[in-house]
Amino acid sequence: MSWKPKIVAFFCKWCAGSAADLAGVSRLQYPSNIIPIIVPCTGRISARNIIEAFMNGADGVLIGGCHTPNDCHYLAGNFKAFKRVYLLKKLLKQVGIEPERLRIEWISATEAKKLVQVTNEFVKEIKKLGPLHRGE
Amino acid sequence: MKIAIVYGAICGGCDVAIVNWGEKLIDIAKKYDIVYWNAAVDSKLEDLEKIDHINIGIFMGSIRTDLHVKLAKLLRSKSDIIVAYGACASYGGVPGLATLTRKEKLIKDLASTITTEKIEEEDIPDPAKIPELLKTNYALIQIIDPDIIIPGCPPSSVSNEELAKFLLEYQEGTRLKEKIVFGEENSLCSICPRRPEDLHKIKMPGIYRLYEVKLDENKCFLEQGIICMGPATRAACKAPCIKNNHPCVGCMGPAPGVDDVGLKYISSVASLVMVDKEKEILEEGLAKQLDKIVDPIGVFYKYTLSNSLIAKLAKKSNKRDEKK
Ligand code: SF4
Ligand code: SF4
Ligand code: SF4
Repeated sequence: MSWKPKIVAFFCKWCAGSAADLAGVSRLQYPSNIIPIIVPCTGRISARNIIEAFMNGADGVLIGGCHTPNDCHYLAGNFKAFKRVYLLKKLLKQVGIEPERLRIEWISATEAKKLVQVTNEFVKEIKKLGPLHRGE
Repeated sequence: MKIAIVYGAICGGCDVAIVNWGEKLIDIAKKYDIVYWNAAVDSKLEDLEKIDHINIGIFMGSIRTDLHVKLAKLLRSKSDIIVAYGACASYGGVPGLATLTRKEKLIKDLASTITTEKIEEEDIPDPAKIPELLKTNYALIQIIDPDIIIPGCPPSSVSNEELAKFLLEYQEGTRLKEKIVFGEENSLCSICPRRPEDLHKIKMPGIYRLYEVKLDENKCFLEQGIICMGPATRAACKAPCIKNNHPCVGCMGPAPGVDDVGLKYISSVASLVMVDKEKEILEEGLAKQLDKIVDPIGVFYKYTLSNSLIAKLAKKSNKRDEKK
C-alpha cells in the first residue's frame, strides 16, 4: 500500500547533473523518489553499477547523459553508456525483469525542464510496474 | 590414503578428462584407495556414508537434485581436501543455464517432446524413487566450500597435469592455507596467439556470426567482429578453441578479478563495438549491431549463470513470484 518506488539516477556532472542543479535553483521540483548519483561521465557507469543499484533496492534506474553525437565532454562516453544500457535491457528481459525499469536519456545542462519531465514520467512508469523486489 | 570422486549433474565429459590421465591414473591408484567413483568401482550413497575419513574428495557436476546436495555435504564432512572439478562444479556450467527456468517447466518440456504426447503438469507421473529435482541449479561452491577449484568444460590437460602432480605430491593430513583456483592469474587474451599489440585499442567492426565473415586465422576474433569471451575468461587452457579457429566461449570461468562474467563482458564490449563509427551510425545503427546478439545469457553466461549477480537479481524480483 505504502510502497514508494525507489529510483537511482546516475547523472553526468556535465549535463544532467547540472540540469538537476538548475532545476533546484529555478525551483522546479523533481520527485523525491529519485536518488541522484553524480558521475563524471555516463561512460564510467559499468553494467555492474546498474545491476547493483537494482540489487540494493532500486525499482528503476535512470541514466542522464549528454546529447549524442557531439556533446560528451569525453567524446563518446554517452555512446558507451547507450550500448551498455541497450545490452543490459536485453539481458533483463531474458531473465524476466521488465527492461523498462532501466532508461537512458540525453539531458543537457540547460534542460532543467526536460529533466523534471523525464523523471516524473519515469516515476509514473515504475509505479505502474510495481516493486521489483518481492515482499515489498 | 583415500580418494573419492563424486558426481553431481554431469555430462560425463569431466570423467573422460580424468580418464585421460592414462598411465598417471595407475600411479594415483597406487598411492590412493579409490573408495568411491561410479565409473570405476561400485559406489552407492550408503558406501559413502560408511567411510569415516577421505583424504581427497573430487566433486564434478552441478547441484540439481537433493541427492547431489547430500553427496556434496557428506563428501565435505569427510574429506581433508575438496576439489571442485569442472565448470559445472565450479560455476554451475551449462546446466546452470536452467537456473531461471521453473522446474515444472523443465519436466514438462522433457515429457512433451515431438515423439511423446503433450501432457499437462498435473499428469506427470510421480517419479517414484528417483532423487528430487531442486527448484533451481547450483554450483557446488554455493553448497559447500571447496579447497581447490579447477575450472573448464572439461578441465584442460594443463590443469589435469597440475592436479595429478598435486595428488602425487600430497602428504597426508596437509591442509591448504587458502583456496586455489587452477590456471594463470590472467585472462585468456594474455596467452592467446592472436593477441593484438594493444588489447585496449581493439575495435569491433560490428557483430557477426562465424559464418558471416571470412576469418583471418591470425587476427583477434574481436577485431573481426566475432564475440570472443577471452578478455573475461581465466587463462587455464592453452587456447585450443582459438587455435582451431573458434572463438573462446568462456569455459574456464571468470578471469581473476571478475566475479560476474556477463556484466564484465557487457561493460567491455560496449567500449569496443564500432567505436569509430558511433557518430555516423548513431544509436539506431548501434542498436542494430547489438541486436545481433540474440541470446545474451547464452553467450555471456554460458558457464556461469548459476552463481551470477543477474541470476540473483532475477530470483529476488517480483516477476518470478507471480509466475510461481
Ligand atoms: S564441466 Fe563440462 S565436461 Fe564437466 S560435467 Fe560439466 S558439462 Fe560435462
Ligand atoms: S579476444 Fe579472443 S582472439 Fe582476441 S586476444 Fe583475446 S582470446 Fe585472443
Ligand atoms: S579457449 Fe575458451 S572455450 Fe576453449 S578451452 Fe579455453 S577457456 Fe574453454
